[in-house]
Amino acid sequence: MKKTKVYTTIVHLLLVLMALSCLIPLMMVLSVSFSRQSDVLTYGYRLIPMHFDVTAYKILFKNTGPVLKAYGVTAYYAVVNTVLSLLICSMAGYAMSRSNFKMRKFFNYFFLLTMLIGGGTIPSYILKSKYLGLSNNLLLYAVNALVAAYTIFVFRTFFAQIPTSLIEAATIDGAKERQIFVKVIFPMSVPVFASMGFTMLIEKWNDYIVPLYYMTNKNYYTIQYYLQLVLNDLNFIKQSLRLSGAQTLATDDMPLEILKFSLCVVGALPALIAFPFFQKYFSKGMVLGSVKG
Amino acid sequence: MRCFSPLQTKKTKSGGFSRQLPYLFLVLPAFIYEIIFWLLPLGGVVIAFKDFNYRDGIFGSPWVGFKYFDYFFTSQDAVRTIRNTILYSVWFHVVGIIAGVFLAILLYEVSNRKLLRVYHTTLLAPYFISWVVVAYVFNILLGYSYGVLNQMITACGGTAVQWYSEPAYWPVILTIAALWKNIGMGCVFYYANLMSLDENLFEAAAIDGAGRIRQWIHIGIPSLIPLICILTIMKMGSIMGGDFGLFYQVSMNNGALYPATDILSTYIYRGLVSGGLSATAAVGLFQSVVGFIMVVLSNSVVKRLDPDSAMF
Repeated sequence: MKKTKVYTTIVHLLLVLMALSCLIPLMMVLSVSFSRQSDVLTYGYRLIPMHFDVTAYKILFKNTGPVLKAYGVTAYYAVVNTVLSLLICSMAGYAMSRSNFKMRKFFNYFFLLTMLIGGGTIPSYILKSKYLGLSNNLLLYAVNALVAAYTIFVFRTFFAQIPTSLIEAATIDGAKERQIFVKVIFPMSVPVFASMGFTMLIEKWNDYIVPLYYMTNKNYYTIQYYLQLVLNDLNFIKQSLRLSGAQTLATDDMPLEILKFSLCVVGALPALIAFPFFQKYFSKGMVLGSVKG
Repeated sequence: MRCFSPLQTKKTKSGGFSRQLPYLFLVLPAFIYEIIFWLLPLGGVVIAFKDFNYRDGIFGSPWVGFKYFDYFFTSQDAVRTIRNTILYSVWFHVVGIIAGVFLAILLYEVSNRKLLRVYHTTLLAPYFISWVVVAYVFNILLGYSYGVLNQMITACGGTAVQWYSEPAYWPVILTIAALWKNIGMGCVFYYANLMSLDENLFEAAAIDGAGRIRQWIHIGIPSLIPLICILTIMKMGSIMGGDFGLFYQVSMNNGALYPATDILSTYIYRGLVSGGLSATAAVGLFQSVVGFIMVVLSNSVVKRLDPDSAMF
């Protein structure tokens, strides 16, 4: 190991620079959201607010309607979809990990095929919107993209490593496959459930595609889709606040430019706060990702 | 293995099917789900050869053969979207490797565990925000009136640039956005690979008088080449894809930027919005078929080079 002091210093310097370039743009969103609108309109976005101002957040907290609704829809989407997906995929993964399941080859090929080829966006759009009636339907959030071959294979690979002697011992004790799955396999597999689960939760929290394609009803927007509409049209803030009963507000005086970024903070914050706690699971998920069909 | 288990033989003797039933029940929900949400749409690709309208549905709409394929491939859009899709896929992959390996090396050199975690957590933060929030971030940088870049340009005496209506800048902007969001996760593979490298190799080179940078050039980086090869061949399988969020959100779906920001996925989305379902389904089918061929090809190459990394 020949590392000179200069070398180590340069390494840290480069890392600090890279870390700052990740952090500063995010800090700027935060800082603009705490700025005074007149400052931004005159001097532009600044890293440090010229005057610290919480007007935008005050307005948001007085009119929590639209944001809370979007939060609720997103939370429902993330939780229900993740739980159902984990359940269905892990069950299939368990069956396919058992060597005395005779049809495992067939199902292996079947799920592999679903990974390799698909009908594309349009046929599945027509199916969901015309034939299943899932447009503007909250049920879509619960059932959208529940099964992924990749997830099944991760579970299968993990379960296959569990010693069969454990399962056989449970069988001798008279346990049914369902009981084995719940009482033997699940407690041993908490890390893989956590890793897949957190990844899915964050994915759903950050999703704007489902409402973009399927939802026109304002009550069914996810928070990220709401943010997209705000970014593309500032007046959308006015409309949605007014609809939620903020007539008393002098909407013409609203600091829209600042409100926009305070909404962005509110939408991005939960995932940003949560991920450091689950970080180890995410890297684990990446490594688990090298599985075979 | 199976014949050594006494339990096993007993099971198969006493009615094979009833022993299989519990497994079938476990796998059935996923199977039925895929029959509905995968197989049905797969059959639905026939609408690419029909003139689909909602009133007649998939079965009632009239056949038109390859009309919509001709229509797409003879249009200007085909050249533009296919070119953009492929070039961006390849380019992001190359840049991603260089940046990912570089960052993995830097992180490898950090011996303080706490500091390492702080660095990596910070670098990962952009990975956990949505593309919509990334679009906000880039709005702060690129906004015409209040944006940071234009503030800098005018402070230096230049004239402000209309970033959102000038396609020429966008290959660079999109590259930065893709790197910024994904590099924290992108380096994980290389870092894990370096961690499994035998440190004695470095020390042997050090004894031979190689400095740290030369050790990296001759030992560290070459040790990553097999991984890079595998990742590259796998990438070929998804060459026709592309991150919808990057191209759609960061450019704010700005029509003036399409020459530089339009890829197959965004084109298909717009086709859906404009209601040309059959025409768009034809583009989607083309994308799926090419994707399928590329996956099978890349997998057979991987299988030959490194059977353990092959997907199937």
